[in-house]
Amino acid sequence: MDSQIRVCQFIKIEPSKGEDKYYQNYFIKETKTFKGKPYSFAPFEAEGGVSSLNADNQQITIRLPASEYAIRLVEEGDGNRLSKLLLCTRFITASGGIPSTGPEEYYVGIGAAFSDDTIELRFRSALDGVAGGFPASTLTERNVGILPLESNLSLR
Amino acid sequence: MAATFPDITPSSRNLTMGDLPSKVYRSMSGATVRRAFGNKKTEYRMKLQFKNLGDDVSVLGGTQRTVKEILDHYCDANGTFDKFNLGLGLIRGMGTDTANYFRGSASQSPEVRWRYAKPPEVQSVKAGLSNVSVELIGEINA
Repeated sequence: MDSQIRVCQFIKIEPSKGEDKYYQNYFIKETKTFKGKPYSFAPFEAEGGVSSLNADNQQITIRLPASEYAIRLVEEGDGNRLSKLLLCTRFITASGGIPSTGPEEYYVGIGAAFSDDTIELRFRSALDGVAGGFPASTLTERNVGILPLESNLSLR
Repeated sequence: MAATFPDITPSSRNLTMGDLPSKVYRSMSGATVRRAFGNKKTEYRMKLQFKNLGDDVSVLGGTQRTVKEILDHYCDANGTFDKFNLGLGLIRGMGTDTANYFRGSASQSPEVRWRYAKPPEVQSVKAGLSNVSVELIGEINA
């Protein structure tokens, strides 16, 4: 048995100020149209938890080389605090086709970290970790009060 | 970008094609799954041997290419840091199609930039003459 997969991750980052950024990490030096927007190539990797039953807001990290555009991403995004991230994962076909459907996750920026050769953008999962038994209704300011911006919410 | 590699024809040339960046997950059952992380091949390698090069121009009547030209180019390229184009000399003797492929002028040419993979090695074989080993690596620039 043998199987081949080609995985492309598309990220849309909405900084707290400045323009939205669109990147993908599979088509090298190419710009791909996805969801109607041009996603340019960036050599990033996404790592970390995606979801859990306990609503503990798992952390994920987007790691980029410490290049000029990555530094600009952090600076324009106020240190990646309160930025919004949409991470779409797509299984690319052998001919390079991009499926329109696939996993999509939303995250909230909680900061960034620099090292000598990388920049890490850190995010926590958005309000999606509601455990079983909770009424299937939308969390609004009317039924839970003012929602915390850092996405940590505990209901007892 | 540093200057083109000196126009010196190597005594021997060993080319290794690049590959798609991928990982293999091999399960206990032996089943494998391969994941590609990009759509272009990278890490082409070119190993070159230059035999009996004069250490400087005074050797062999001053008409020969010299070890110092390679060492100067290595310094000019900031060691393994800067990229450069392959000179004509490096692909001399190669068939036209293959030469065009590696020089980047063919439609299917790899989109790579060449650098020194490691510092050149100089082996003295006789007074004033040396063998030089050079290894280049062709990688995709982000």
